[in-house]
Amino acid sequence: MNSWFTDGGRFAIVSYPTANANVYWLSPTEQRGYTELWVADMSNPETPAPMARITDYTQDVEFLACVFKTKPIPPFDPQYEYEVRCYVTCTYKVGASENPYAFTMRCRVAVVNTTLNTTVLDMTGQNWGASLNIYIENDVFIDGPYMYAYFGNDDATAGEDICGIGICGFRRNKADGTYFDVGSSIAQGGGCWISRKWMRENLGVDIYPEEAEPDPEEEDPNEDDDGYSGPGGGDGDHDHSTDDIGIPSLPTLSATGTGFVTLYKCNLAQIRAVAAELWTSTLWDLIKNLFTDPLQFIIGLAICPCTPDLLQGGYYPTIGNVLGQDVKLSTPLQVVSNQYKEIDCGTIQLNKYYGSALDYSPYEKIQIHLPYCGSHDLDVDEVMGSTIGVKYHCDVLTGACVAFVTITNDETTACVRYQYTGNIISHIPITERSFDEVVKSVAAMGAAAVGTLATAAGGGGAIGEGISSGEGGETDSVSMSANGGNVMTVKPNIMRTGTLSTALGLLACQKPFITRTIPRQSLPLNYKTYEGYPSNITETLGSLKGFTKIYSIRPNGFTCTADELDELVSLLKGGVIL
Amino acid sequence: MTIQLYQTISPPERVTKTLNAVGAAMTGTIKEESSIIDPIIKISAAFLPEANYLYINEFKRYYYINNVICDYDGIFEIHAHVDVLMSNAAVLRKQKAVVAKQQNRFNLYLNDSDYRTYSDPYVITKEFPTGFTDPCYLMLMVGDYSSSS
Repeated sequence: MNSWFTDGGRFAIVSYPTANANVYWLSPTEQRGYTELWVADMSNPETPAPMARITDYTQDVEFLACVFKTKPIPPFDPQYEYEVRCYVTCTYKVGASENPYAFTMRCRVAVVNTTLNTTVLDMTGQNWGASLNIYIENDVFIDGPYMYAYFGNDDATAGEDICGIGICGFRRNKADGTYFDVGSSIAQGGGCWISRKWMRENLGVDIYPEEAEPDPEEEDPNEDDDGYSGPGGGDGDHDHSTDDIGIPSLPTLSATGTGFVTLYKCNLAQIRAVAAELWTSTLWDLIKNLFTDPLQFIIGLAICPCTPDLLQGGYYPTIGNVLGQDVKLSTPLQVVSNQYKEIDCGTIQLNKYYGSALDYSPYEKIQIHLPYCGSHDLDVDEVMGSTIGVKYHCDVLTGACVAFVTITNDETTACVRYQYTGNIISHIPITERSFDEVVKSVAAMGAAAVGTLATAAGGGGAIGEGISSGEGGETDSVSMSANGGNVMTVKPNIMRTGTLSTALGLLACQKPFITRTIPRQSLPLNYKTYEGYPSNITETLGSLKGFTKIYSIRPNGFTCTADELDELVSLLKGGVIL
Repeated sequence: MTIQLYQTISPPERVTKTLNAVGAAMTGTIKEESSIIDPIIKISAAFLPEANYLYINEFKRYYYINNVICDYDGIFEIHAHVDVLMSNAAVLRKQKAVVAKQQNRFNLYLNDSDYRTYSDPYVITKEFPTGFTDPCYLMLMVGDYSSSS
């Protein structure tokens, strides 16, 4: 059965013989006699109810243009061949005489070096002796996620009016002659007004019926209308285009250069020189008017796991001015020019292991381990087959860091999908008070980790902090799966690290890494001949070979008894060998 | 009625079976009150036919032979059950259906509750090329800096 549905699904455009009350479905290769175009109500697909004949003919017969726009299609893959199949039926009228026209056109679309080459394969149809000559004008072209095929007819005889409707199917051909349907759409050409407006005005119906307001006068107060059911659905826009969320730029406002504080990069020898100078009488005589303690002008000392951007050359810390004389340290140090630093950890390619559903949840699990940010689960369905990148934005002044996990695949380029925070600075105590604070903060972090319960079940979700600081542990709860034979779905997710910020992070791995838990499939020999693999297609049984198991069938044309038919369907659902 | 006996080694699930005729077509009588789905046919033969399959011309159907009962010398009572697949093969192949599983036309990215895995998975790690590899000391001081001592 071949029909053309509007997007709502309820109504269809059918070809309808003029002299016969039955409705004939026009197939792409089947031409009928004189036909008209009708709108039919498809509420019951088995018995379509013709509603009204389409009589809205265009006056413009010099050039009938139909632009076929597909639904969003995936990006072209140059290893495949694509094909446009357009089936058009139309009726043209000269005076009071109406004539049918139907044809099939195929157009091969090949992608060669990212350039589309279009070759018209064949046009099968019958001109019915008229002057209609419909062709693909120029090439099929791509605009964003859609494909357009522009059909024209410029040979129509003057005085002819045309009303037409067509459907354009877009396929990706495979080497064995089969194909994937990758997009199709109802075409609305210049000669066909199968529109909501036309439907409303001529048939009194709407393709996309709005939800009607209940009539308060007709409401039965005793009736429960919560279960109201009506036609609807199928009106999604099928738009899976995505915005690439890029890693933001480093902030431009920085504490460095303000003059209030200065951050210096030092080596061990320089630190020792500064420490020695602090307690000399020469320096103290100068600064005693500014500070009561030499360490008051040293705000902090820390170990940073990355070297920030520096000014060229060495500079002398100037800690004040006494009686017109700058008080400087004698040890030149390198000045940090930007308190923000980006660390690019690079990328890794996450290739599918099986090339099947086993590469995705709930079978495979993926964790990413980020220095200073801990371990986190990644959504394997999201990242599989992609290139994963990790970049850090670090604030070397406060130690705060954000780790960006990006995904690059066919649909997106370096799109940020995950962001995790941490702290990279390991403070070095320079007074008894700062040492005490460091110890307290580390102890608090460990206590917070112990107090955090591991949640979630095997297979995903944020597990949170580890059970104990720096150690892995097992989650508390496990979800049972309905897949009795598949152990992967009942295995818990193991937390492999705990809290790893600040000083603890310095002791841990300094490069990110991912851990993949890949299931080991148990596959009997020649399994597909005994059980088959999931198919989920609608197909004529005669075109299939080998073991076949069906979901459903509408038996038609059998002359056997009902009991035989029941047995037949039962056998088909259990699996037969064609 | 006219019946033809066959020997088939094709699996019962196969729609079109490979048949080897056993003898020529013969005449049999259907036992009273037999159905066309589970007929009981009596034939006269010198010895037990080595057949497990038959075709009844009048019923236009193929049958499995479920049982053969020997009444008395020379008379065999064949209990049969219709093979709905072979009998309706031509019409069956014209039907369209939603296919759940198939030997050749399939998509491995469709999940299947029948997938089975061993209890010991592969656990692999992949390290990123770079990380934090250049540690340093940082000292924060009050005030500014000067290029001259």
